[in-house]
Amino acid sequence: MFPYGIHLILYGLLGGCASESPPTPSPVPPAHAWPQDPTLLAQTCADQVFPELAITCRVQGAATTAARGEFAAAEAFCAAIDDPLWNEECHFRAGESAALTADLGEAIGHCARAGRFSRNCLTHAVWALPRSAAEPGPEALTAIGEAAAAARATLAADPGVAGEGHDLVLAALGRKVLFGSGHPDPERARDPGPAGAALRTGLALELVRLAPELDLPGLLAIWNQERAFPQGAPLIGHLPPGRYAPPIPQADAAGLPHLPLFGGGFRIIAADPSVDFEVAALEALWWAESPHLTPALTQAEAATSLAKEIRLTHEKLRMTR
Amino acid sequence: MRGPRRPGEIPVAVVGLWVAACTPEDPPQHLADCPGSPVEAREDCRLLLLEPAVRSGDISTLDKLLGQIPETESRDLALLRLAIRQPERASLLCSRIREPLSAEKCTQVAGRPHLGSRKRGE
Repeated sequence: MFPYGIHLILYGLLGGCASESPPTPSPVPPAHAWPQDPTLLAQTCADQVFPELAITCRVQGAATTAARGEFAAAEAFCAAIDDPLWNEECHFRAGESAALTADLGEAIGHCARAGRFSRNCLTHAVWALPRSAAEPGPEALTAIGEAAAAARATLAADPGVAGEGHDLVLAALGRKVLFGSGHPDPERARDPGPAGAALRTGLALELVRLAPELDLPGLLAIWNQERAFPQGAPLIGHLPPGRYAPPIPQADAAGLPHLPLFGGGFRIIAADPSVDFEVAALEALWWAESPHLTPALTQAEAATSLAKEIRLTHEKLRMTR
Repeated sequence: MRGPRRPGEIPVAVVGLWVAACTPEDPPQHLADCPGSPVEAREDCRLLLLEPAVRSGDISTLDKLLGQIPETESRDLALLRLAIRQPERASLLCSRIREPLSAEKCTQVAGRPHLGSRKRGE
């Protein structure tokens, strides 16, 4: 059929097709831990044969380097990930890690690029900011307001996230002025603005932390300068987490000014600093799981002249105590 | 009209047969059909055959297929890669990894449950 012995050539060619398998399978290279050195790690990620492993390598690289303050390296790791989901996760991890170095601007810069995870990133990053020995005093209300405004500007691409970022920064920075200070002087928390409310959250938490025996009347007596405030050693680094405030929307409180709390929940803000401190004090008793919370709520049930903000706080805490 | 074939000239039909024979066939349908080497091709082939079972949540088929992969390292690699490709199934996949280092890497995915949540509007 095939002249010139071409069938022999054909068999030879067919025999030489590349799809033939060798008799012994090649082993899979054993798994290795990612190196710690950022240069070595970058090279290791680039050398990965399988794209999925390169992704997880780079995410790990971004988190590790951001936690060390090596922000340019973290940027490079995330920039090398094309997959949209994992690029956003990379910025999420870098944002969380950057917060551990107390670099709020860097953390928010990453959260702004975390896409679908921006809100999670902000919550994790802002509440993870450590308390430093050089924490600004309450006179730094302006600085706190500026930091919140800067966060809003960085997050401007998504207006909803930008507003949330602003409030989170205000709440978290304001809270740690007095929470962990060892010196919860109520005179430092009488500003009527929203940053003042954040300071009152911290004031109430610090009072309860330093003096767990305080009940609501005791806390109010300190606010009213009828009793000396307790003092203790300041906390540096991570603040005690306490009880997480659940992010449960409260229908009756819709439209009222509110402030984010650690864990994702909110507390109502009252315009009157004294009313607002009582709200903060009740929330602090809840946070500390104080035995004094239930009596405070029970006694208040009979009261008819409570401010709306206090009444709504009672209702919320009764549901979650 | 074509002129006479010169000695040594390969007929067009023969070349066509050779090309057809050497053109990659349909993708393998069974793990046993995956090439033995190079390692990247074999692992990609196994991954693609496992992926539909993971995507559809057909765990018994997944376990059956995994049982057909003789090398622990290859199974672990496929599970880790699948967890990264389908984070919503990461817990299920990571729990099947045996080698500690791969399991730890997989935990970096399974420990981030938001990765499996859908984007707003999806």
